[in-house]
Amino acid sequence: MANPSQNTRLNKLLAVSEASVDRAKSNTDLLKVIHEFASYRGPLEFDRTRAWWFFGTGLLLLASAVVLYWIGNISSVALFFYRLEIDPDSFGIGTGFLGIVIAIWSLTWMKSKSDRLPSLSKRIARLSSYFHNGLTFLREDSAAILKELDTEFGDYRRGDYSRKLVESIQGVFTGTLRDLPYTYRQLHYVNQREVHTTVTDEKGNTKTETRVVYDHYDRYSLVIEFPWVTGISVRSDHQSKNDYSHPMDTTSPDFNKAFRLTGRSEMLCAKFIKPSTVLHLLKLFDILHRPNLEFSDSGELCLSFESSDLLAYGAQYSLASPKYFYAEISAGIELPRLMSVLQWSHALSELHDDNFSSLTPTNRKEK
Amino acid sequence: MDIALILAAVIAVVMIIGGFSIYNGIIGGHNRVQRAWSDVLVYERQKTKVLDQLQKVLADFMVYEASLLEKITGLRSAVNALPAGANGNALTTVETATRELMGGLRIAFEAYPDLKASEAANNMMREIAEQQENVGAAITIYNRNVELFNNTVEMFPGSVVNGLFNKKTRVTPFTDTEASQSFSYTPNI
Repeated sequence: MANPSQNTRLNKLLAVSEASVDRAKSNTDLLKVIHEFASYRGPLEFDRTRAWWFFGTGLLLLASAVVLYWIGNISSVALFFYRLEIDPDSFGIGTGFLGIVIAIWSLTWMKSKSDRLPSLSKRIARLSSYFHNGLTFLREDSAAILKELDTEFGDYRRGDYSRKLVESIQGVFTGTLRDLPYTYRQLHYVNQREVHTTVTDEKGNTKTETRVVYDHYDRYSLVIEFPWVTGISVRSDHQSKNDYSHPMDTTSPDFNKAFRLTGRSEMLCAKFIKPSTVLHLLKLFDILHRPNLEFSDSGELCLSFESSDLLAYGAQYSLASPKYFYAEISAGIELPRLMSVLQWSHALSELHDDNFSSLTPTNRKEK
Repeated sequence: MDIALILAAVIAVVMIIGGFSIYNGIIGGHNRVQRAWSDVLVYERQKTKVLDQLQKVLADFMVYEASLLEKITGLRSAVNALPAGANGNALTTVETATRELMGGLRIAFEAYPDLKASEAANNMMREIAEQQENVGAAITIYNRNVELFNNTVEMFPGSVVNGLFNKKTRVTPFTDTEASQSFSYTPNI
């Protein structure tokens, strides 16, 4: 505003960069964008001088309106306005309203401009963390995929009003013994319930009012290829649709308190729940909130949980310091929480890789 | 009826129900300790099955180190001598024998390059390590059960019910003296 050339240049750079980030297919594309910021001559922030002037003017107009309200009753002032054929009250209201509009508009402008650079930095860091860890977005038909997942797992059968897959990302974890292909999904589901409230009117009569409340939830999951265990469910939340017909208690009181273990047969449960597995499963609470594990008959593990920060990344810098940000992005952004969960899953596979059995798979409906 | 009498009756009923619940809790806790101990025995005995195969593998590679064979025999005897009733102290001999055997095997692996390169021998070592991992986990779970049981029989009001009716004695957990010796911190109690 005060320096149109500076703001126009920065606006243009941001617009071009945002478009480039949208099209980015690799870390190199992101580095090119950061390079543009590093070689940009001038401050990497919008000049807000004129916006502050507008804000000040707005406040001044508002103050004038207040003053006019107080002195409007003085006859000489009122006379002055009536001579000009202006109603002093309407003039005061108009001035005050204009002042508020100008002040809010200038603040909104400043906020929108100051958000653009951090927002673009976050998008770059997030995309870089995906590229660095070999993650790819999946474009899935939510309804079709959920129908398919329902045949394998009970964990996606949530939401008595609606449910939808919000995000699906695919990757492969390279462990010391083997690779584990996995798919991360975020399920958003809505439960509907009726709330009855008793209302008393002015005459003292009471009546019951019913309203429908929609509770929104998110559940996150990793589906991992896991052929070493089948027909087992271990859950820590209330999703009883995961359960198989044979429950089993372990010797660990902590495990029994934290999880419910069920299996297609007692033998499968007994083979699965070795002491080392019990302790390993309990460690999962250090990483995830309310985890559930379902080992399907087709050799896949659905590890679901409530923790929303699995894809949290640890970027220190932003486009405000482009040279450091460039170095950070070129080194690759890590996803520490995702990696710890995958390492945990890999360790679980190590505990069970000698337990592969060729039991005849049965349909989930038998549960 | 007198209100005091009703109150006394209610208190008596609550105490009887509470007493039964604690009595059953002590029996349940004792059974859980015994079950956890059985798990320890199962995994210790599975280790001896691997020892038979290990002896065969060692013979295939002409490893006839007297001390190593003695250690295998020592471990097998220690496992066989484990009592059916839960007793953490009884595990000390087995765990010491296991540690000595693992040390002896590592030395043998270094002394016999063919053995070290053998897939069968390496699988055997991995199998023993896995069994040992399960034994360690089973002992951890056993100790946790023992802790809960001992708390029940030693803390009020469980101690009163146990003293009058159950008459169970505290169970000894397994403590690894070698591990605790290498740990320098001593609690100020």
